[in-house]
Amino acid sequence: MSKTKTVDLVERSLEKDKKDFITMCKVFQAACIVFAVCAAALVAIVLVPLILMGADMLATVVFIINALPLLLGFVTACNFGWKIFGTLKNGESPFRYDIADKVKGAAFALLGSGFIGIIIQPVSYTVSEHFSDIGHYFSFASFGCCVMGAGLGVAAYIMNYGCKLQQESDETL
Amino acid sequence: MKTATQKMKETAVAAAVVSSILALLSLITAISQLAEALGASSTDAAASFGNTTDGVLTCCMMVISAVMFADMAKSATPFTQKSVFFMRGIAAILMLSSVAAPLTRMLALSLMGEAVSGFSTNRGMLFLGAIMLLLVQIFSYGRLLQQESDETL
Repeated sequence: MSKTKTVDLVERSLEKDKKDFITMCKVFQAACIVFAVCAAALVAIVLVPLILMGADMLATVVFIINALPLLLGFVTACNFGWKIFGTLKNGESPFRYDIADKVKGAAFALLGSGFIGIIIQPVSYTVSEHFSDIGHYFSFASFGCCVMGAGLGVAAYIMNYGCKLQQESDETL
Repeated sequence: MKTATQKMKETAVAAAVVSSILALLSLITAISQLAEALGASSTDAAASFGNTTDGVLTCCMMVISAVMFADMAKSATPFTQKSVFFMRGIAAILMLSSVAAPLTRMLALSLMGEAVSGFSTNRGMLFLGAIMLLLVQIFSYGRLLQQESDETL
């Protein structure tokens, strides 16, 4: 009787953990959209006054060239995030090859955009004097993208390992 | 499976080395910010004290990461009780660092008798901390799978 009660409690605790996990996934899925929209809005907030105030063409073009790879990389990563959390919220195992591939995709998107940003910046500094004012934020964002991408890359490797364990567990059953 | 384990070990070693380098860089940043704070005017000093706190917390986080990755390389699996524990620690530090720097800045300003203005949190860090908590849950599940795999073998 006591053993049945203990098993029941463990099952209930696992069920609660799963529910919490699904709720967290839903929140993160929504956060991915919010982040992507915020990033696009941030670029627009800087770009629109730049055009309206009649800043020289070169400054505007330099800003777009610098902002575009970062924005694309971030939005792509958010898109992958949306898909990952969308899959996870169904309550299935997190160790699936398609999820590991999506994590790898997000890692490459962030790493790629970060590296492009880091390569473009020195050129932008030399070409446009106006860029030096906002350049600091771009360097910070590019470096941040690279670090996040590297972190996600490690996570993708770990996920791949987890997938193999999951496969092994499924085959044993 | 052997290739995957080997790959895992190599990745863990690389990650441990990168984390150690980042820990060292954070420590250097924290020390330089502290030196700057000691010789600066009150407002600048408060900002530098805040940056010092950030640097110290980042250094702690990177040291924990380095130890965690070294442990992963040693045990040849990422899913251990220790790694779950370390990841909880990293999540806690991330969440703490979202408020630690502004709090230090406010404390330094009030100690110097300056007016303390609005309080702002670093929401990005808070979000990263929450993501880390989600990863902890995934790792807990992975630990169960690893245990099952070890028992089967």
